[in-house]
Amino acid sequence: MALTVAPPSISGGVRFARTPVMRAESRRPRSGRARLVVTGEVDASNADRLRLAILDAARKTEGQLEVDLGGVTFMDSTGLRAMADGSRALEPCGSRLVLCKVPRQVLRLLAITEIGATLGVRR
Amino acid sequence: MTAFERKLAPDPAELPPARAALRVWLHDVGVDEEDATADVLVVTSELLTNGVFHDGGDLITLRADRQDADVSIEVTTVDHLPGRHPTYRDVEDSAEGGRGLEIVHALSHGYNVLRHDHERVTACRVTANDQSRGAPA
Repeated sequence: MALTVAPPSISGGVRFARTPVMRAESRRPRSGRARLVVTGEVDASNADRLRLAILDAARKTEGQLEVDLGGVTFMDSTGLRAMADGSRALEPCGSRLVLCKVPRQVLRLLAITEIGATLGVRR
Repeated sequence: MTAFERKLAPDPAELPPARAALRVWLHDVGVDEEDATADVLVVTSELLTNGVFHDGGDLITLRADRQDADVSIEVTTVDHLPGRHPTYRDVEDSAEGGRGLEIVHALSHGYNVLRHDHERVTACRVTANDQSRGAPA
């Protein structure tokens, strides 16, 4: 199942770069779980798309949502916030967001931010 | 050695190309270490993002330069157009800006904010070599 990237019109007036620098694609590795693969750069120009992709993938799983960041080449606080928002939205449904293949640059951000401590990481 | 300067509109779509240009400049001035490059880029991204969403101006100027073992970063925003009331909101009062500044604070030697009549200048320095850097937790 491929996730369709949310159109800019639902992003609250935030405009996106003509060439998307982030791709988010969901897969189902096994029953009850879902995986969202994120690649490219995540910043204020596309963090809303990541948030929506997480929420969309969460609706399609009853268990754990793995967010695969192995192909992420840059992330700032807006990306962390999108993932934390997604994680919070999953909790009432009994689901859980887990980050995997986290690049060094993102690991360092998680280590120095309060929000990073709230996100589960598989090492 | 030439300092870096780029002017951009307060539009989030301007962030990726601004970082890409700064990355090229960092390479040109010999800042190649992975963590140093990442730190400069993320600190810059946070300052620019605050400028885009919180300063309410129509032009942002990003400047960077080598300062001994550091890279200095300066983001200048025009607070408001002449004849219009300021729309500046303190970024430290907002969750998004506060989170970004948490990162700036952790990765830089502290930041300063200067306000002039129609301008706001945020400046900081980031270590450009890998000494005194820790591994990720």
